[in-house]
Amino acid sequence: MLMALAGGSAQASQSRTFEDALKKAGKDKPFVMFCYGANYDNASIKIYETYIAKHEKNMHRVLSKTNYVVVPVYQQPDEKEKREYERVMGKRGLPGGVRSIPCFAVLDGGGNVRGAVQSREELDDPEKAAKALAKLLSDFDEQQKLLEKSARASGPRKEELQREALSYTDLKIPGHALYDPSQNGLVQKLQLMEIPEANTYIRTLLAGGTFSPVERQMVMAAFAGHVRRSKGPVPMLRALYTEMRNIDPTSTYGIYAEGALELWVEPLEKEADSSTTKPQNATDQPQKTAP
Amino acid sequence: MSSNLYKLLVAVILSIVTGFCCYPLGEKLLIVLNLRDALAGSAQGKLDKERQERLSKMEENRKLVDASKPKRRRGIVISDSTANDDWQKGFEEEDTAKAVEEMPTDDALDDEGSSENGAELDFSSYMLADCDPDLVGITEDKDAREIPGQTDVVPKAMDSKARSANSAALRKFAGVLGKAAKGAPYVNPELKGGSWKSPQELYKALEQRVLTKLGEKPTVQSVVEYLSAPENRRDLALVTLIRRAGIHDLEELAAQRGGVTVLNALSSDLKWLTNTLYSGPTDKLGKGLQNMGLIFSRFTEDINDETTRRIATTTATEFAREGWSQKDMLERFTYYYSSYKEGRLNKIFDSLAYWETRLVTGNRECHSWGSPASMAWQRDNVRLPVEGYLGASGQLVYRLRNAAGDSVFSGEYLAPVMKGFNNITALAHREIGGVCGACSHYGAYGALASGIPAMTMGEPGHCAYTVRVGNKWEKGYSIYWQHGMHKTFWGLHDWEFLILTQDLYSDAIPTLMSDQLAAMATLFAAKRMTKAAFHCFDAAIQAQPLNWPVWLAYAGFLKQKAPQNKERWTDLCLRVVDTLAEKYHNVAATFQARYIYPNMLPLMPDKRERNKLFGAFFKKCDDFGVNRWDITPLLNAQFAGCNTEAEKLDYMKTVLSILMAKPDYSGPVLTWGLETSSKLSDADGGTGDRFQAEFSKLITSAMRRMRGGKKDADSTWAGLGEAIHTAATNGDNFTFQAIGKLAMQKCKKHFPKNRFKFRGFTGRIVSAKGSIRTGVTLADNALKQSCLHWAVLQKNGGVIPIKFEGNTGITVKLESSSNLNGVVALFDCPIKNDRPFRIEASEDGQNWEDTGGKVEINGSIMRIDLRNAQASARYVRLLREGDKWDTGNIVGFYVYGKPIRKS
Repeated sequence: MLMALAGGSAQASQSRTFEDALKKAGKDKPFVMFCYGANYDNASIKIYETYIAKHEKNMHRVLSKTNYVVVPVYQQPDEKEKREYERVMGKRGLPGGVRSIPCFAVLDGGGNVRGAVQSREELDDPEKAAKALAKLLSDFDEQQKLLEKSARASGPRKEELQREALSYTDLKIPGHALYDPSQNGLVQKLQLMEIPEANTYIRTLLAGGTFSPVERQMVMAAFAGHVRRSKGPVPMLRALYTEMRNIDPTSTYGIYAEGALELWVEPLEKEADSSTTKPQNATDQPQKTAP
Repeated sequence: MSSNLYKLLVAVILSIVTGFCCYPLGEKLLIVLNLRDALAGSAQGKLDKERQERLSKMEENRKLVDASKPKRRRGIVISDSTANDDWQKGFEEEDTAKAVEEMPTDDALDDEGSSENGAELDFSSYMLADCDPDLVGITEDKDAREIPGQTDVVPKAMDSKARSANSAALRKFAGVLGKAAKGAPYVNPELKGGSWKSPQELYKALEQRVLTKLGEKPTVQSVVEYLSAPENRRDLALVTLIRRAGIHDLEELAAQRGGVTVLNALSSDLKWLTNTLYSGPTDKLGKGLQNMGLIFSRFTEDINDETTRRIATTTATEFAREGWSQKDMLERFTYYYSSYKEGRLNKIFDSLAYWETRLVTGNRECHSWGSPASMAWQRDNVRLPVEGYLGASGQLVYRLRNAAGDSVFSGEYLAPVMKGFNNITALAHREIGGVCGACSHYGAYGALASGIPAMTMGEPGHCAYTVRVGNKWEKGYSIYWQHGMHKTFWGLHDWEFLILTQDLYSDAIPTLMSDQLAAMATLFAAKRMTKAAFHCFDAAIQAQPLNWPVWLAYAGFLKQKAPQNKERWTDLCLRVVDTLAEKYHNVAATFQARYIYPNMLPLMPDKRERNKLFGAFFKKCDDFGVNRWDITPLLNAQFAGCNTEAEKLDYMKTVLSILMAKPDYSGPVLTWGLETSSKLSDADGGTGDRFQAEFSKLITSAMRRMRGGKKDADSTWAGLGEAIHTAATNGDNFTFQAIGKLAMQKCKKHFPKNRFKFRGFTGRIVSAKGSIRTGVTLADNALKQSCLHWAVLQKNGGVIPIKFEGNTGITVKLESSSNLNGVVALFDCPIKNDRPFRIEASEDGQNWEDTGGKVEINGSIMRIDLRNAQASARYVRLLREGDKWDTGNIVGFYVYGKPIRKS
């Protein structure tokens, strides 16, 4: 019934099926997929009614400028509900990347979820939700341009453009596998190196590679972990975590770095301070090297 | 008199000779009872010498099978992961479970303690001294009268006539309850505030009313007639409630703020009462009711709201049962209450019954995953249709070490982000990663946070979870057939018990009938109305054969009242086979092995009679049924009933011939046979060798009979795979080789035909007739391929998966102690040579020494030269320094040397 309501007041930008939305998006345009729990979730239905059926003004402003499709998701669907879903999605399942429903997912013409507005914090506030979705859409355009330019470029310029494209942290790039130090052997490799050697290795790696900000933070976390476990110089540890945090303090690894400073650096600094205030033979002090 | 004295003497001598102290408590009790009876000269208690001997034989056998219990469950290598600990915990808890504590047990009303004297009635539980770990007797009230023809009269087992008479009455009763469920709820505000000031007086009045209405000699028909009236069902419920909760806790509740309000509301509403009492176990019900009092003292305005009652009752009773704190209980209640009020739970929650809600509100993690903060985050950020939670574990990145290189098993893994993420465990893991434990908790608690029944479960070396979709429990992230459920009603963690719980409570009306009849039986038992109690237990089982706690309560009562009544025990065994065993093979096997055999087999000297009963059960088991299950405890229990070598061999022969013909069971029974025979050999010393030889013959001929046809080829391959894995784990080279060769004959197509080219060493290959094992925890599919491990030692090669980490690697037990010249290991992938490998040698498989051999690696070939190492050993193992490497296989492993001749 809710679907029928949506269908009746469909806007020019609304696609009736996922396939139509894909076609309209073409090669370089995004589209929005709004999924909601149609038979099991009161909160979902409320969001659907507010944002889609009643055209909440903020969201309407965003959606009217883009191509979007509304997907009713059913729990243990009966035959009728299966047909409702299939009318929009055909035989497709929901694309990967939808972690919670309801959500406004931004997809590319290949059907890949590039980003999504799906947290309660954003969805409960129409203004916030619309703003977040608008940002994803405009970032998508920017990122897409950079990717196209990068495809045409070569050498250092290509890498520079890729780096820039990766700086849109809320959007995933299809085919770009996350550089994960725990999975790709970097952590193990560092374990075999002395700290100065590891430092040189990491700095060279970061200078040369095309890393997203998150990946840069993860690489630094790997190095800092090595320094910490090897009981390396505390100022080096502080410098590393500070640098890591400053890349993006609100990101996961920004938060990680802040926590690490508090948990692992400050106590060591306090300990060092208190020991330097005690009269001791200067030669007993550990040698500290700059990062 | 002289005869009794003679029997007493025999009993004393037997006790001494067989080692009284070695007996489990229950057997001690039996001996003591027999001694007492012999002294008293009572007919029932006559000391039976043969029986006593059988008991002591059983005990010996039991020790043997205990010794044969593998430290690792059937060769499963246990890793250090917490997931594995959980799995083990599940099985350990099983042993200490008291599954029937919800059955009311009276404490004696002694002379000073009678109500007339104003002293307190105490209904605290009392464990009948017993070898069966959770069989509980029912304590009789001291004020119970002697009723001629009732007291201490054990009726004959039900015949078909009695059964059909019961059926008619039960059908009628089911109709009444069905109608009542659809009709208006029965409410009777008879009890006012003052009534609860003295629960003891209230109890006496209610009990009197129940018993008066039923008369002195109640029958099943009259009981059913009585229970057909809602006011009578309410009376029985109140009597049961007071007995289970205990006077003391009720007095405390009545004195606490809001306590009387809750008690009045609860006692006036039959539906609420019924849901509280008959929706799962009610251990520590008194504390549970106090928890409810606490909740409603804060949420008084919602006391009449049905959903609030459901959330409050289930949270309160589950937290009391589990022994969790009131603070956590209130937080959990508030979470579900407010989530429900805000409409943020999945629609499924709205229609959950009480028993299902208990699985949700009573979820096991009060902190971390089950903390209100983490659940609220999952509720709002992992909102999915119920099926979606089965894949939600995939939202976490599988990282054993986080980006910083800290292990998931260390505190450092999440520590830096917990504060920044407001201690939200689920969020922290989603951002940083986790392994199977975190992934499974994420999936299960996602569902639980939305009010959907789910739970995590341990598997060997792994953690998985399950979510209920519709009425079916679906497995998520599962890789193995063995599951130790982390939330249970009866302390039994096997998957089949979860399915039984589901089926039992889904079948609501029969279960309700059964529970009420069992409650009535318990009351009768306490009043020494033995005959009526037996009849009611019989009817309770007939009404709902899936009612596990009722089976247990009945067996406990039988053990208490008629431990030597062979007819009743045999009848019980046959009823289990006829009803429970039809679908729930594991449940029926557990019940027989734990509770029936220890009591019945000593009364049954005739091996044919025993084998007939065993055979009746196996007949029901064409396949594994609900889920694959471990048949070993059942076989051990049956084997423990054999008294002589001839009986043991005969039993072995019978069981092998029956089960080897069933594809599902051929592997497990073969494995059991191998383990039992090897342990018998160890335990029996000289005579054991002869035995072992006989067993080996039996097993070998049984193996040869395994079907090798096209249709059964897969099950034969799988069965032999399991068995060879066990042989390797036991270090049993003889069997390892025998199975390997047999597999080569029967399943040739599975073996590779490699032609390796490598440079060996001088001397002969001393590993070819040995056995090999890996440190990898083998999942089902990998286990089935274990015959290829044998082939790794042969010239054409095979496949054995690798896992190098610490002292875990590849271990070979050579055919005999040998002087070692070198080792060649062939891998199916380039060898990860960033860390050094080494060969260690040992004579006993326990104490190892590094050989210092020189390791050469060339692509996928490793050669270790031991010619200068001067090493001799029976065992050889290949290890690797540092971090784990477990992605690959060894396809050939050859140890060169010269066997040391014994001088």
